[in-house]
Amino acid sequence: MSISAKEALASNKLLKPSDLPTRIVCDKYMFTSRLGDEIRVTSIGEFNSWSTSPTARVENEFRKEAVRQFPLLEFFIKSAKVKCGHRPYVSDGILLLGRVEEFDNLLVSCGPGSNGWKLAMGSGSIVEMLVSGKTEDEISVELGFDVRSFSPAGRVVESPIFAKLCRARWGVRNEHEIDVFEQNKRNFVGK
Amino acid sequence: MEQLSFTNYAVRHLVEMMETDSLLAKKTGFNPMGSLSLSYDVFDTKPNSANPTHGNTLEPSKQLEGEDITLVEPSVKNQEQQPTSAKFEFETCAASCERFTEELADRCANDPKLDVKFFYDTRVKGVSTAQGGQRRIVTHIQTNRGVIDVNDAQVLIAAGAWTPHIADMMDL
Repeated sequence: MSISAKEALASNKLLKPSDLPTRIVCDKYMFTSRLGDEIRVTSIGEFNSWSTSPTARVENEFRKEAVRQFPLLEFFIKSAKVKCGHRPYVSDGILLLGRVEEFDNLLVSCGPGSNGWKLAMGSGSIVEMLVSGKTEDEISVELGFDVRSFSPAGRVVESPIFAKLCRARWGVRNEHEIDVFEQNKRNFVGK
Repeated sequence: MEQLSFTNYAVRHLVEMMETDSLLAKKTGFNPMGSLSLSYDVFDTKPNSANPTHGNTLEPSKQLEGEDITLVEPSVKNQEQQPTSAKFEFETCAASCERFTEELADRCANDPKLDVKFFYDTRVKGVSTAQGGQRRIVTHIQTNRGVIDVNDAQVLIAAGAWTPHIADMMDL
């Protein structure tokens, strides 16, 4: 949830700027950041598939813990909108970043879990180097760490039967497999 | 260890960007004032105690106790149960990833020199591939708004949680 520091101060004359967090304040349950005017309060992660709807019980607990951390912001904590997002990560904990071995023109960058944005600029740089024709060995020498550690090689592999099962499970169709592809084949027009 | 080295490299990249671009720093609420991780249990004051949030960090830090905690972060004084100790990672920075992404997207969309084109409300519905020399190549991407001819471009799947949905269209 996000709370405006200006709104909080304007609504309660007894509230002082020093009553509001000035930096990241966290404990075992809560993680609150101060981002300019925004006081962003975050917390728990759930295994909940592709749903981004907060679970009511978890949302209540989240608000309760936020009030415990910042009791003077109770009014705002109780009324702020709670948002959920995805934190996709790879099962082995190592992000996937690099060229897909089976293809000449395919790269992947995914799976850093809660570190997504933190790693975004670095991931972008490595993708740019790969697309520009540098090898993983050259990049590793240039950056001083082994980028092959994140390579999809051996982790993103051709697996037609498993992919078909996944498509059935997730309700995903590859429409190039059916006739629609040819019917719709026309120049892509961006609007 | 390589992932930690990469994280250091990537974060340094971001922080440098914020420090040299004051408009970006302002828009994203960049805050370099560190992170205070609070403990309420006396056992947490042990050096090896685990904190799910900051247990494995290699960032420089100092341990604070008692009034030193509220001197660093006065807002903590309002908590009913006062923390017994805190780990202060004084080099930690924060910024809004949402506002950063919006600002970056704005700059890309509005600066012709960057040669970036966004297609909004566009969903990948199919991917066609062909056998190249030794490996396959992505040739076309079918979307709800027509077919994109890949030609000699490189394709990057960076679709977050939906990455496996795209990959399985290529039998990956």
